[in-house]
Order: sequence, then C-alpha cells, then structure tokens
Amino acid sequence: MNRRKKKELQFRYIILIIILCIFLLLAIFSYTINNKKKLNTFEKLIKDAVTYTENILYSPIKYTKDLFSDFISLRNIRKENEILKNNLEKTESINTENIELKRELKALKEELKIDYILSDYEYLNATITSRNIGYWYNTITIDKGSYNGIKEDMAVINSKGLIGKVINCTTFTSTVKLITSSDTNNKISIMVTDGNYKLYGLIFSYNYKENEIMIEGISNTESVNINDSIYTSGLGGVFPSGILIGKVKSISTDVYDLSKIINVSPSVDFNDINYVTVLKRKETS
Amino acid sequence: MIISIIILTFSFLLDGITSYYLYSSFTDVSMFNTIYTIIGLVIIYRFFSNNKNYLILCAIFGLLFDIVYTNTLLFNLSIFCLLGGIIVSLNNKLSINIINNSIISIVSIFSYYIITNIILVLINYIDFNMLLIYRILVNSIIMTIFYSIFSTLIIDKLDKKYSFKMVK
Repeated sequence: MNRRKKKELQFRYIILIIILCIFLLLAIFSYTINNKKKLNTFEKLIKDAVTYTENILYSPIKYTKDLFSDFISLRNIRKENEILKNNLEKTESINTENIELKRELKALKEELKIDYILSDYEYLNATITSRNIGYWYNTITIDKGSYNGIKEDMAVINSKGLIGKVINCTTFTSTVKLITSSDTNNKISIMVTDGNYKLYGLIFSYNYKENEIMIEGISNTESVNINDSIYTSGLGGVFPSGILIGKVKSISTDVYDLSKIINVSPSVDFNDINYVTVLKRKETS
Repeated sequence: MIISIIILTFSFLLDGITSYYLYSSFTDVSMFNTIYTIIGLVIIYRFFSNNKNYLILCAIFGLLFDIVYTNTLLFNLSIFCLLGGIIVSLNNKLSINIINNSIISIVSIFSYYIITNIILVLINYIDFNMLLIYRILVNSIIMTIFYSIFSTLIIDKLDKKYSFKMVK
C-alpha cells in the first residue's frame, strides 16, 4: 500500500515537473521571440560560416538562373529602349530640378542651422541569401553585415518601397524582419498624404488573407481617400521619412467598432524580393 | 557517424538554398515547402544503434537551426529533440524501407509545423488560422515524399557499395 502511494506521489511530482518545464520553456520562447535577441560571437561565427557555404553552393545555380532571365529580358529590350528614350528628356529636366531643390535644401539647412533632416540617409545595396525558413518568422537574410557598416534597426527598402528593418547582424550577414511580420512589437510610424494634407498613424498588423497592412491611430480618417500614398513619417528614430509603404485600399472599423483602421495595399511584392537596399540614417551631431 | 553528419549538413544547407528559390510566405505557400533537416533526421536513423547519440545529433542540429535560420533560443532545439523521440518510437514499430521512411518523414514534418504553430499561438506571436496550417501541411507533402524517397534510394545504393558502420 505504502509503495503504491509512494509511486503515485512520484508520478505526481514528475507530472508537476514536466508542466513546470513546459511553462518555463514557453516563457523562454516568448521572451526570445518577442524581444530582440543579440547574437554572441559563437552564433555569429556559425551564421557567417553557413551563409557563406550556402552562397558558394548556390552561386552556379544563381549564375544559370541569371543567364536565362537575361536571355528572356533581351526579347523586350527594344521596346523598353524606345520607352526609355522618350523618358530620357523628362529625366534630364527632373534631374535639373532635383539639383536645384538639393541646393535650396542645403541653403535652408545652413540658414536654420539644422545638421540633418528626417529624410537624410545613405544607401547600401545587398543580396538576399535566404528567406523565411521555418515559415512563421517573416525574416530574410542578406549578405551584408556589421563589416559593411550595417547596424540593428536600419531600414531596408527596394525600388518599390519599404521592406523591413535589420533585427540583428553578424560580421557578414544581417537578418531583416519584414513589415508583414505579425510581431506586435514591430510598430512603425507612418504618414498618409495626398499632397494637400498629412496625417500620422501606426502600422499595427498585417492581414495575410487580403495582403493588407493595417494602420491605426489616425484621428481624422474622413480626409483620407482611396489610393492616397502611405509613407514612413521618420518619427520614432528608426526609419527615415518619405519611404513609400503602399496605397490606401479601404477604410474599416476595428472588431469593437471603436476606431478606424486604414487597410493599405503594400507597394512591395514580398514574394519577389531578390535585391534590397539598406538605408543608413545620418546621425545627429 | 560521418555519413550521418554529411547527410544532415547537406539537408541543413538545402533548407537555406531552397528558401531562396521556393519561397513561402503567409500569402503564397510554396507547393514544394518542407524542412529538409527533419527529413535528414529520419533518413539517418538507420545508422544509429544507440538512441542517445541520435538524440544528441537532433539537439545539435536543432540548435544550429535556431542560430542560423530562426534567431530563436532553444526553440528548435526542443522541437527537434521531441521529433527525434517521435522518429525513434515510429522506427521501433515500423521496418526501415522507402515507404515507411516517407510516412515517418511526413509525420515528422506535420508534427514540426503543428507544434511550432501551437507554441507561437500560445505565446501570442501569430494568430491561429486553421486554413493556413492546412495549406502548409498539404503543400509540404510533395517535396517531403520526393526528398525522402530520393535520399533513401541514394543511401541504399551507397550502403550496398561501401557498407556503412552503425553508430554505437
């Protein structure tokens, strides 16, 4: 009888220990996934070594793929050339205007004694080496790291708009969290504008069924029209201002019918990103 | 042991390489979506007579998966150990052949996606979506079966030619 009781007690203790371990592990997972995890030297070394080995392995495949895509694009080159010739005259006048605007901006900054503005940044091009492994994390890895001057929280864009931000970097690689991430800590300050007005809000979620970025915190949604552009505001100190995020697709209310939500169609096709640009924000003196 | 590590390392690198070409996102789940490292773990079980060594190898590759691909701590290590346990128990009940290897691979891949989804929903990282999980699971079948059959056939041939030693 006593032995049976002892066994029952032991069994209960084991169950209790297992439950405690599960809770402890869940707490660790929650902390490491929801917060930024800094890589130690050992982790950085392993990540660099694996990424470089992968690069070496897939460079012949990449070369062949590029060769084929170059050949396919050759077919459309004559047509594209004609369009480009027509646009060339426009580009020259835009360039002249741009130079003039830059000169005026510089003069105004000197006049007002401003060292930098929110839209000041430097460019750094990078290639994607791996994408969203493990499915749920919405991250990509690029082939530039701290050796190239990349730091955490730098904005990452491509020719169409904002992609995400650097969450950690090793010597030769960086991990970028996409703005389509469902991470609740990943709020980005934005502005809605059609040229006449500016309203500020926050990206708070991503609806993957409809491929829409959801924006909250805009008080006066009556001024917002469908197809108005959404840009980064530069507030919050992470992203430079003026990076395109997308266009307003619809305006709805939240599940409690309390606040307005703006649904934005992203300008970037997140399923087709091969090359990106990291924006290094100029620091204040 | 060396052949097991080679197979696992190749599968591990394949995960990174294929992610570039067969990209999966929430809006577009690739038809050839799978985790090659887990299939590699299923394939190499035949070389282990000692389950402890096998589970240690599962833990090491789980840790590597954490560091290189998902930026997490102990997350994949724990899941890979759990999957190692599932693979051991299934292999004890089923004989080692191409079909059984494919079945165990599918069970392991399904378990991985379901367990990660449950944990990430529990810690409030993602929202629960039954339809999405269903799509991921269905889309992972093709590549899982293909890679499992392909690698089993190659290892069978190599085993006949070089007769690999079991890990004690």
